[in-house]
Amino acid sequence: MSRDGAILWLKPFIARPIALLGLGILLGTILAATFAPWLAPYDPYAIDPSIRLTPPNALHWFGTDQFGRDTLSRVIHSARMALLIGSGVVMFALATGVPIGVLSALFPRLGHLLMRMVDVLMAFPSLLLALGLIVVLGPSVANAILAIGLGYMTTTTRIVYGLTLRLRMETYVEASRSMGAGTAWLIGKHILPNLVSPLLVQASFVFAFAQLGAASLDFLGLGAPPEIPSWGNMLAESRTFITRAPWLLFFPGMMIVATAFSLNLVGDALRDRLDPRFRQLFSEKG
Amino acid sequence: MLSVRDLTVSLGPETAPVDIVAGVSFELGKGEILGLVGESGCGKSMTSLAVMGLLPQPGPRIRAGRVLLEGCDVTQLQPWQRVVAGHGRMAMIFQEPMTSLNPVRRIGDQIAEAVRVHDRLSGPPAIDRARELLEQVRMPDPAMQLSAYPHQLSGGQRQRVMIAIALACRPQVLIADEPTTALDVTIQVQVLGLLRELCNRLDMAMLFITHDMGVIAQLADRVSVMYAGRIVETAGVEALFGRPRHHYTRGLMDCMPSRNSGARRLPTIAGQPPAPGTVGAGCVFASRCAAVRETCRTAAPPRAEVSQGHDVLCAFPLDGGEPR
Amino acid sequence: MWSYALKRAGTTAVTLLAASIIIFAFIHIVPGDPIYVLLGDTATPDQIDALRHQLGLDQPIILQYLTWIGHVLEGNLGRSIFFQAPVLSVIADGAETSALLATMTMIWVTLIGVPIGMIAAVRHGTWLDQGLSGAAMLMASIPTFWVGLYLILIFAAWLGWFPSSGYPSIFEGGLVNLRYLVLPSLALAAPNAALILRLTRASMLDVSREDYVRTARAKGIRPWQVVVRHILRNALLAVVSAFGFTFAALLSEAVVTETVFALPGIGRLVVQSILRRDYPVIQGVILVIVVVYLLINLIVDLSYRLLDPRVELQ
Repeated sequence: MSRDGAILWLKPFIARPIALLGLGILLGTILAATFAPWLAPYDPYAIDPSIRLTPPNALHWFGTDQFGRDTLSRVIHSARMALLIGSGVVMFALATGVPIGVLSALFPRLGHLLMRMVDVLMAFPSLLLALGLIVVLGPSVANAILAIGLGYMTTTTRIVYGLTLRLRMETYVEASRSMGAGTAWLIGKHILPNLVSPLLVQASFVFAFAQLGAASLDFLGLGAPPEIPSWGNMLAESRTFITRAPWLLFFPGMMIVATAFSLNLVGDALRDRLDPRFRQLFSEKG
Repeated sequence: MLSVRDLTVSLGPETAPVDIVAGVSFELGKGEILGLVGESGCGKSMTSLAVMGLLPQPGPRIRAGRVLLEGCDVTQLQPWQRVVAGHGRMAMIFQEPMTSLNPVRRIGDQIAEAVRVHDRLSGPPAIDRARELLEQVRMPDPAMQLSAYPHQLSGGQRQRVMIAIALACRPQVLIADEPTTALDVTIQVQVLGLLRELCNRLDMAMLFITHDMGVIAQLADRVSVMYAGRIVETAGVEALFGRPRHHYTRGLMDCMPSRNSGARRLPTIAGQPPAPGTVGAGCVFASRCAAVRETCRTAAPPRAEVSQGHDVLCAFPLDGGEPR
Repeated sequence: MWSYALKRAGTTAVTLLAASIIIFAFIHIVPGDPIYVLLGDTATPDQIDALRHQLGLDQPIILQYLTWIGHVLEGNLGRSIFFQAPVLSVIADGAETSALLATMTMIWVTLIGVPIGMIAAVRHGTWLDQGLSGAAMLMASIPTFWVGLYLILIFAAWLGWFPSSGYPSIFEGGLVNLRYLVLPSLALAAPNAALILRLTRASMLDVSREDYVRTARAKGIRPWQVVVRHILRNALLAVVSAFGFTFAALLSEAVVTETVFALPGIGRLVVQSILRRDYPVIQGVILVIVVVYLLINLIVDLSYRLLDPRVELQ
């Protein structure tokens, strides 16, 4: 990307300081995930019963849990799972939603059938759909990604379908078709490039809500295996200690909020610089 | 009746305002129809919204100048504030009759709402008055239409409803912003006839905004030509069409198709109007004027009264010569 | 209107039919043969064959589906393996809690989301608007179970204002038992109120840019009258259609909230049944929730049409 291009993309963030905050939190999470072994002061798995449930102090900034493990180290290591789930869900939603949406819009007969199937899937509330899938597939990280991703595949397909239908009506696309341009050319040259910005918006929102979905699955014991540190797992393990050690649940919860919030802020800022004709496809439901 | 003096409407920050309407002045006498004509984007709609106190917020604002209704300053007041202050007798109709009426409320309600404010009536008398207004605008079957929704009416009927709403304000001045542009030609003629008749009968003044020189020629008593946020020429309708003094006005006239122009290609004015904010010290029309001279580019042209009631904003106006 | 209602009801029926096939298929793709789940590891081949025949599992799959859907239409959703009781009655036991929780949540959502969204829209562009919109986005980013846990800590454990968990029926203890649902409904309402808030704000801003709002202002009516008579009603039309969506989100989020607050509702039933591998119950609950969701969407859609006079011509 050229320098001017970079400035163009940064513009919505500079105009809105709160969106810059969102970008900052996101960057922080990525850094924490990348450098977790170096950043974390302790081994996240090291058990020390002598310091069970210590409140935050100079040695253990976020305190320790019921096994004496350092909460800060576990919070930092959990960032990896958060990013893995988030990007996994986004990639699944895009990899399925974009082809289905584009093809449905270009081939009306096929599209009618596919969109009806999407409608049927949308009749299942997303967490319920995820739970059903987990029952079939069994709990694991990959299945959590798949189960949450399926719910966002439908919304992504809907948006891509709507966008492509609109693009197809554009005069220059019509002109290109009338001059005998093939479907592949049409998709590559006119449709996909125009989908990039709106999909970036969608990706931000999906990433944000995937954090909440993953946390719910972890909390119910149906997400990542309990031995893997994740914010949802930390909450699930410590929930019974909430009255004795309220700080235990505070930090992992705050991290979920911070990641989801920052992605929502980023998505919101990006949405505001979208072409107004496309903006209305993104309802306030994310 | 209505006097607008040096009205300047600006966008952008206080420190670096961009004037989209710059020093517009005009007078409107009792029962008079003043046509305000210009290309789209010349600031004529902004002028009308500013005069009516309806500038969108946040957005453009009146930076300087005054709007006087019967000598009372109503410049920064919105319509409701004018009503409260006792100067509410100004009304406006808009270009798009399709979107200017609330789709989920009955016609009768929408008219009666204005009646309640301006006549202080309520209940059945307000509805009676609404029906009377629909009769005044020649709405077929007015009693029935009171309970209709806008989508059940045609474009021309909707514009009649808009006029009825305007009349409910018992206006001394009616502002009509391209009220017939969106209508079919036959309907257009009927609506123009109605407006003309209402002005005569109710002794109502009208500021009629359009880009259509033909409509202006039929309807207006006097005409102001607007270009790039400025009024460049004002004259009685006959003087203006007979002897345009500004080069831009002359250009507009030449672009009008006439009965004997036949299949000949119509002339155009070369170039584009300057974007707001890019106007320098000189004449705004300098970049497109066929008779431009060196001073036009550096010095603002004076406003000259070339004959009784005929103003022109040009340093070197066309000489009157023989009437066209 | 009637033809539209019929058409809309038709699509709902088709969607429901397709959904029922997915739900039926569900029990056939779960790992492990349901027979083993029913009989355990010690069953003899003869016992297995006998049960297989008794359950009709040896018949062609299409026939099995038709038998199942026939039973469903008669109100027979099968038997719970864990409770040894009809699935429908197991679900009915949780229905009171879930319905009351959902209703109470929707009341919070409406009371919080709509008025605050209105204020934000009317004060559009001010610091108040930015603060409220930012707060709404923050609320939408908070996991409900996490809020729930801290609500329990503060209002149940520390202050003792509300009970921390469980819910005895109002038919046994009277309406005071609704206090058991205050904290869960608040936790569940937070993110949904945030969505409705943002939607109310956005659609009010959309409507306020309409030409007819300018017409209303030109009449000289006061700003609050413009808001109430011209902006609000039209904007709420859009919000009404989001209520179905919100309700759906609520049905699934209640799964987590009911677990946190140990409420005997349908949501907790799903989670427990998943852990107990009580497949007939899971299947039944999913079916019931999908039916409720589709019906609510149908009602919302039709009432939306009823509120908007423009549809008469369409």
